[in-house]
Amino acid sequence: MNEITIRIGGESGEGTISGGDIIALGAARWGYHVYTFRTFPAEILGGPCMFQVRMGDQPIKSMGDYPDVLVCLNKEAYDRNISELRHGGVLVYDPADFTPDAGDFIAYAVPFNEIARKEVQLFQTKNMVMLGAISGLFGPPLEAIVQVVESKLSKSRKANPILMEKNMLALEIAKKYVTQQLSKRDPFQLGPVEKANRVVLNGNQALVAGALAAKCRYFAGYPITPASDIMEALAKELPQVGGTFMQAEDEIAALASVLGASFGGVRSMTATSGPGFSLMTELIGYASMAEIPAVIVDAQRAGPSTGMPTKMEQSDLSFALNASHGDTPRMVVAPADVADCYSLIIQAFSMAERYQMPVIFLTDQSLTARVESVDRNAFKPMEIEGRIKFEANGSSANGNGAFQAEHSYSRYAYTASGISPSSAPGPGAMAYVATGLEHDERGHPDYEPEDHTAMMEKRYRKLDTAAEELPKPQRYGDEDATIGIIGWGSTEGTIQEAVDRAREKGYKVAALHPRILSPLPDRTIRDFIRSVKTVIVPECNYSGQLANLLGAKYGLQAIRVNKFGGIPFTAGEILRAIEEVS
Amino acid sequence: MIQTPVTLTPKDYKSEVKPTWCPGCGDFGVGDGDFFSIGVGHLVHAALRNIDITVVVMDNETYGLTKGQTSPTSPHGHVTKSTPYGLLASTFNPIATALTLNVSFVARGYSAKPKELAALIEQGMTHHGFSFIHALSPCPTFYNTFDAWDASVTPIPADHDPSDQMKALGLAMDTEKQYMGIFYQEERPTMDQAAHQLSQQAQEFDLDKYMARYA
Ligand SMILES: Cc1ncc(C[n+]2csc(CCOP(=O)(O)OP(=O)(O)O)c2C)c(N)n1
Ligand code: SF4
Repeated sequence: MNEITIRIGGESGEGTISGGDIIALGAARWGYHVYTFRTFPAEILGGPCMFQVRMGDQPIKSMGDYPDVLVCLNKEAYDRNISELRHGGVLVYDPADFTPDAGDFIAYAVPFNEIARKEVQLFQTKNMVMLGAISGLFGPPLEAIVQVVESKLSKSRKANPILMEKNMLALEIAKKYVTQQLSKRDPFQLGPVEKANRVVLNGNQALVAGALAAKCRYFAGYPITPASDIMEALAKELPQVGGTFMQAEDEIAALASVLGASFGGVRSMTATSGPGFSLMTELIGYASMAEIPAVIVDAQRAGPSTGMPTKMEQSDLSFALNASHGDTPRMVVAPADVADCYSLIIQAFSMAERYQMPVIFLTDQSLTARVESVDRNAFKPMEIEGRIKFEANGSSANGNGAFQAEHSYSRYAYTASGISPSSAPGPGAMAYVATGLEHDERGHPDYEPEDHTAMMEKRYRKLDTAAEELPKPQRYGDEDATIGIIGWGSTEGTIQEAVDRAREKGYKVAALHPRILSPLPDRTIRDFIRSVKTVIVPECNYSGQLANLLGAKYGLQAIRVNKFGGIPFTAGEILRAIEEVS
Repeated sequence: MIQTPVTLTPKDYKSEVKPTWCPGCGDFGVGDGDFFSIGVGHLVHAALRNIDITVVVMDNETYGLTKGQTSPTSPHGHVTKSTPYGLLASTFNPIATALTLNVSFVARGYSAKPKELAALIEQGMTHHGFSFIHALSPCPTFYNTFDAWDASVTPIPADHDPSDQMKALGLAMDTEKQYMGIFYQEERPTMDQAAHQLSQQAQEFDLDKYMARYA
């Protein structure tokens, strides 16, 4: 197979991550599919970190079970990572740093430090020496790396011809060193590949592109890892497309101003992580009650409380489904991969606008930072549903009969779909109060038992309408499967890879991965559950939040597979679960 | 920016919904508790942004809607159902706070002097920028301060220069008198203007062009 997984372990700040980024980008631009996984040090400067990139000529669905190649920039990186190197894998290290123990791996000694210091005569080029060595030993071709380094360096503040020259020299010398001084004894080598029309980006970058394409023109947020880069990107982009950005004083204010903008008719979004999402709960209820569209991104990180800000977890599902007091219809969606961060955020805006309620978008830390190469055609303009508008001539876009204009505008008119024609301030607007108190059709406070009952039913009716109208998830794998897997969020690719590998081994397996978690596609899920003997629900959380939901809704007794250390599943782990239940 | 040329009359603001909460004065839930306690963080930042809005805080020094607990503007030692042994905390000074937040229009009025109060609100609304009007409005049901305030309110001295922030602060810190009128006023650019300015060169979003950075 023309595929390789390389992990670089080192200290943050010494080029571990930037070096990995360059390989991933270089390989992707050369035509390989790439998929990255990285850890973040707890500290802002320094601390151990690693970057793993999987590259190949076929689409890549997960980060890979074990690295084929481990490049260690110091002894600690070796101690931390060597146990995860695959049997028969390759270790690349600097003999000046440490001497590896004997093990089931091939070791290549490359004097990164000495080459940088003595031959290039610029110690800062050590990570270029590493990249040259990787390219020489395993690929991608040096030209691919050179192109990325050139374009990065020329854009950098530090750009100068001497630095550029030294970097190029470091790449060349290192490549020459490994090809001339080492005799390659391993099978890991990227073969030739055809050029392809792809883009290379991470989940948050795709999400921002989607929000802009969805004509989101107001964003307010409060800094929090791992959602801050969404905010920072929109701070830069929104004014350029006629939008407005505001850094709010807290997440309450962020969502409040988003609702204000949305009340004014502008597509609006905020993005946060668990602690900030917790602060938003009262306003989620308000948005649901006053029927104001809003998209709320929750980039999940390991909780509870401040938890582990830089670690992955899928543990906000129960909360997202229930956040707020009272019975509060909302929608919840979870993207599966980088391309989904684009298309699903657009869908989230459509859903918010059409069904006039908050839509919670549950991405997670690993997906925010995961870099994937994606077919450029995945980023195409998409239709966005508009808000059904009240029209003063007595009819409205959904044809629901005559409405009184002016002071008796029925903003919350009872309709069969539950969706009532809206009106935003501006010329020709209808006046109404968007109150969080229970109200009658015209928005006037109303505590009559039959009115609260009817309004509650109307608000929930929108979820039934949505469940009918929204796309259903597709089954993946065998039609006659005996084992089913139901997952959600960023684990889809990993689950699909496990299904592929299990089928190769002769197991009958299928997977279902709903992106819309509220309202759930009941019929599709019931049919799937009925079609198999056993259902596995793998989740990166402690309590099995999707499994609990499926148990409550469909009486499913699932085999729960939970991982909650802060690191996503590997396909091997899910494959093992399949083998165990068989 | 879209300016809608609509002329509204007082009639347009009249709701046919009668307030049934309290027969006392009908001015519920817009006061010192909302602005100086649960919402104080937002008040501060709205002020710092100098957004062109007018904030009228109806201060009754109590929580009316929840039936008479202590509020941030209640006097030290104040006895209520939630402070049966007297209020242990100090008292919030709305005008001084607004001045130190560099609010661009700061004034105080009194509900028992509705003409003057209405004039202040009008000036606040005409002011371009964040305007803050501290409207003393006693709660006849839970904390009747009419007599005390009738005695303590005093017009701001005629020679006060409303561009003098330090002098204004001196007036605000007076604990004997409650000065009425405009403490401070200054016109300066608002954040909404600045934000609008930023998008002067805005263009239609071009997806293809945007994605090129990732190719
Ligand atoms: C989050 C939250 N906490 C508590 C309340 C209950 N509550 C309603 S009004 C109010 C006090 C309002 O006091 P103030 O702003 O002084 O207005 P007043 O009622 O005196 O006019 C409180 C605590 C609430 N509505 N929401
Ligand atoms: S009398 Fe007091 S409680 Fe009643 S509405 Fe007025 S301020 Fe509120």
